[in-house]
Amino acid sequence: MADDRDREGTEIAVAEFHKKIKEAFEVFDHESNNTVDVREIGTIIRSLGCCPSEGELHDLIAEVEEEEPTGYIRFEKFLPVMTEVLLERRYRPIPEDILHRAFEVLDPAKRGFLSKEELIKYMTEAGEPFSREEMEEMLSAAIDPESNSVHYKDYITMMVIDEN
Amino acid sequence: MSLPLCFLDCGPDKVLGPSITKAASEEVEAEEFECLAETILLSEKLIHDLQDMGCGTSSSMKDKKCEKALKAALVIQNWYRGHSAQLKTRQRYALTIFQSIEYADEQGQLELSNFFSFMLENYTRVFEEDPELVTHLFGSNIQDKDRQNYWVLIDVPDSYCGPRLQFPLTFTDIDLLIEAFKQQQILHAYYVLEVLFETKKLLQQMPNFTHIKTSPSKEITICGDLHGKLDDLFLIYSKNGLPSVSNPYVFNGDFVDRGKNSMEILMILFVSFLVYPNDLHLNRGNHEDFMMNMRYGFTKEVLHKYKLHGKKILQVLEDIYTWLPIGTIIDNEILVIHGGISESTDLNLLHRIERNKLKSVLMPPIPIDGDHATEKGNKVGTTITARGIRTNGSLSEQLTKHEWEQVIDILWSDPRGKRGCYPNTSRGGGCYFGPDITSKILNKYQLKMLIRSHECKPEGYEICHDGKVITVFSASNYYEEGSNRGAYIRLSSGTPPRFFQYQVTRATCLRPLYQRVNAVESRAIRMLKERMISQKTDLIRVFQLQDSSKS
Repeated sequence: MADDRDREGTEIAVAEFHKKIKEAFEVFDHESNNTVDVREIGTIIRSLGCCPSEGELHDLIAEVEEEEPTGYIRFEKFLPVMTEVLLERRYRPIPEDILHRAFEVLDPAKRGFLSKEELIKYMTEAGEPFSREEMEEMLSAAIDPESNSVHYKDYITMMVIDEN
Repeated sequence: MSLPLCFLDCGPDKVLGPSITKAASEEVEAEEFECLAETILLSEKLIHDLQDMGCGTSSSMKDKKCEKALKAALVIQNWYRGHSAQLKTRQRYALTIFQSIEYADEQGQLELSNFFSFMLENYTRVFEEDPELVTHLFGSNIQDKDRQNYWVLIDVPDSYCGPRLQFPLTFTDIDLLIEAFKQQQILHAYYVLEVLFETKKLLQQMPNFTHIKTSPSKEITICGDLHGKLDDLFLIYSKNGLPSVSNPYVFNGDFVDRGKNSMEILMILFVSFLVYPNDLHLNRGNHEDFMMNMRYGFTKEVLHKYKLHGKKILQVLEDIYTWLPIGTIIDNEILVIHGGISESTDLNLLHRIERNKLKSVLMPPIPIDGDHATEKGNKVGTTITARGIRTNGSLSEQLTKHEWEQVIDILWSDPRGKRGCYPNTSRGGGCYFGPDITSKILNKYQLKMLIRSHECKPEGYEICHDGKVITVFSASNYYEEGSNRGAYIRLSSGTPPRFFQYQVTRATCLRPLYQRVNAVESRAIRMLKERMISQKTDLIRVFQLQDSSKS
């Protein structure tokens, strides 16, 4: 009996996910032919609330690509894979406090901010480095022009408010 | 005056790092990431710096600290990319809203016009008995052609401190105009009309399609819709150079409407054309149409800027539009037209027709005596005299219905992913054409590519139909500041086209993405709200129809 209820719950969830995935996909399906450019898949997946790393994204793309990559991803292949991802609640987004802790790790002296140079260095040389465009974009919103530094607590608060 | 601008190379490079195995737990803790070999992910410099920051003496301590920093960086990057993607998606949604509203407008107008045409076609008795009603419905009277050259009598007062053009025009006049318009001066009606008359004379000598040859040393630049955005034209001329014999241009229609400097754009383009008639090519767009101008702002702009002579200027423009070429063909390979094609597009026919007979998309040919005109010029309407009534007269003053539709398809169609050819319901004119149509038509005329404009694209350009169709749109921030980039294309035979993107904003163009997206989004939602409120009763009725349970 509990099983039945579980299954029903899953079915409802799957139907909802299908709807969400379809809507997100359609935003980027410019030609209305159920395909999107592979370079937009990352954006679509993230718009659905998941936060895969670049490496994980790479793997996901490999799963949804054609045997012979065409540069396009078809909806038929994308839907089942993405549904699994949502059902398993994979790649959950970073909670605000973890994000804050991450900044603090990079600021061992606990000054409350990172200098522009420090941020650039970490973001473009460590982890999965930012492209030049990503770095510029982040700086434009994060930098306090007077001190030329990033007060990360304020920055995080601003971004999180904006998301909601 | 230098404009703050963002000038970007096309196509950001996505950096995909190597795979990182991940713990299965739901909470993503920085400590739970597993590092790959530090040599891949950490540069020497970073290690060095971390050492400087006092990472500790023992090597294991050092490694641990580096590892922590690495994971922290990963967390931040991961979060940022997620956040950035959310913004981009919101931007897309906002653009979709804008576009739907824009097309719904156009559709409304065309549907109304189709309705009128239908009425007239099927109730020609009305036509015969009351020609004045038709005139009222359908367009203004033809003015006396005799007074064509009265502009020479216009006096330019000494107090006029705007630009004074010297005929015959030279490249210095282009510079003169640009400088003057940058200071927001207005060109005197006398010069406007002089330019217009000279332009019309020259355009009349041009064929329907201009054939151009490029070479590796003579690339051609193709620009899309400008829609009265003067700053974008300034930017293009500034970044890409003024037109000249070695720097030819094609401007692919829609120079006017919506933006507030349509007049200035036309003047610069026409003067450029008069100075370099073989190297500055203008194609007609769906907005080069006096009836569209009435609805979308250009008419208002002219009448406002030229209170005394505005009507005359508009009248001449009406004619000039009809003389604009339909398209250009580059190296016998690339077709450049404003909108698109349909499955029945007949380039040979289009080369032959008398293009100046198409006055407006809202004035389709009206058959007379209940007969449908199938042979051009074979029948003559006997019941109505031509004088003073634009819409008919002898049939030789109109295109045939088939010819007219061919041109409308060229000016109004949009490419879509779906195969086949369907009426363009969102615009109300032209069609949607699929990749199979593109292949069929391109192959039929041994062409390799279609370059068109007509649709706003977030990146300024877009390639579709397997690389065979390129859309180029040159009005950045078309809907709202931050809504989209503009672009232009440079190409020459044998080399793939190169794309150049830009975005012109008055405020700092480095305004952060989230602010721009917020602005675009709130504008879109506001517009949508206005729409919904104005159509409230209709909307409610439709909802009630669907809602059988009356919830």
